[in-house]
Amino acid sequence: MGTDDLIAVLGMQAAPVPRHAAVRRLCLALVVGGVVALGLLLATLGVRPDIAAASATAPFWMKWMFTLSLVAAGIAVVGRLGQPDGRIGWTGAVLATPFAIVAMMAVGELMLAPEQLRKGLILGQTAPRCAVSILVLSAPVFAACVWAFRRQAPTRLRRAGAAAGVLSGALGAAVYAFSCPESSAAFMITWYTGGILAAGVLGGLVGPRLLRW
Amino acid sequence: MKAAEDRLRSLMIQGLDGDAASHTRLLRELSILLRGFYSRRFGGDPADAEDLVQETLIAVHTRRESYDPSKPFTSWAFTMARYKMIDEFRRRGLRLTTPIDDVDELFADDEIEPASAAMDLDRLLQGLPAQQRAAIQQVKIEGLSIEEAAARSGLSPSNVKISIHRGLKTLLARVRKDARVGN
Repeated sequence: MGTDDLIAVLGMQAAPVPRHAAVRRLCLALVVGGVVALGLLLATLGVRPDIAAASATAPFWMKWMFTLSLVAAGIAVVGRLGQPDGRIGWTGAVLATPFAIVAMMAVGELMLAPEQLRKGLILGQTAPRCAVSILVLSAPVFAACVWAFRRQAPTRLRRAGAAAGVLSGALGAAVYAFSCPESSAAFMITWYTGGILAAGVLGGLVGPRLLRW
Repeated sequence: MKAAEDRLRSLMIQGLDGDAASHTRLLRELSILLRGFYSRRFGGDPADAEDLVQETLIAVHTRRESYDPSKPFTSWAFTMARYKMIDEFRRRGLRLTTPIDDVDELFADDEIEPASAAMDLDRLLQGLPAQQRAAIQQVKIEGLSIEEAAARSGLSPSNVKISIHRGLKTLLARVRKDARVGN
């Protein structure tokens, strides 16, 4: 096909693009991926049995404040990395903030706790299961993010993959919170972060392959 | 360039609002700039440059959601053009025959994934006859001289050269076929 023909064909397909179309598409992907992850959770681990009682306690909500603020920051970072210049600017600092806050809370918690209880605060009852579940639940979200990237123009594919992985891990963690019985900040900063960062590392590994265009 | 930026940006914004005539004009004006951009940097076969012009136009079209209207248009479009060019170099996985003045700056600007490039190259090379594959591997990838490769494989130097030439020709044809299928 000659370039002039190509231009003629492409020029005919000038559908209007709404403002902030990229972020909207990403949010749509997150909704779809999140629903699939939730379905997966309900079909396997189920919701924690004491959810009604737990929802009256602060740690229950802290998990969502942590994970959903990561999701919000992750949307900003992934949105930037979908643009060709790939500059994340201030959004990187925003993404780091929830980790820093929860880490400080965990340090405070551990300092106040008697020494023999500290290990329990970190390990909880469900340590490895938590990180593994978050990683598994992030998979459908990540797939949806890859779909959203098909209309974007990422040029730093490894970074874009890693950021999409962290975002997927954060949403996977938010879904997992329905099932998670733990309540310490030390547990969260260790195992939630572990699952989320593992998703980020995997995303970075597959990014160059999946996001190439 | 400032005038071009202003004009192209307003065409882009009108195109994003659904104005097909502006969108067509944008692609047409951009194709001229891209042709200059690629033939300056790419040299060699004008058909190669034209393939990249087309691929970039397709990317500009299908990925136009990624343009933020508050930012300069030309830097958006030419960052994509640069990405396409680097991707093409990676696909070939070859040393370039034409000097590229700003290649260091280009590559410094972008992350290169040697692992993935190497994997793709391996996959491509798999399809070649053993003799051609070995010759390309030794000379173009491991960096042996023609004589060293000849000594290692027991072929004459001119045989090695011919193997490389034929192998590269096949690879290039395959890459470009892939590129078309990819579109």
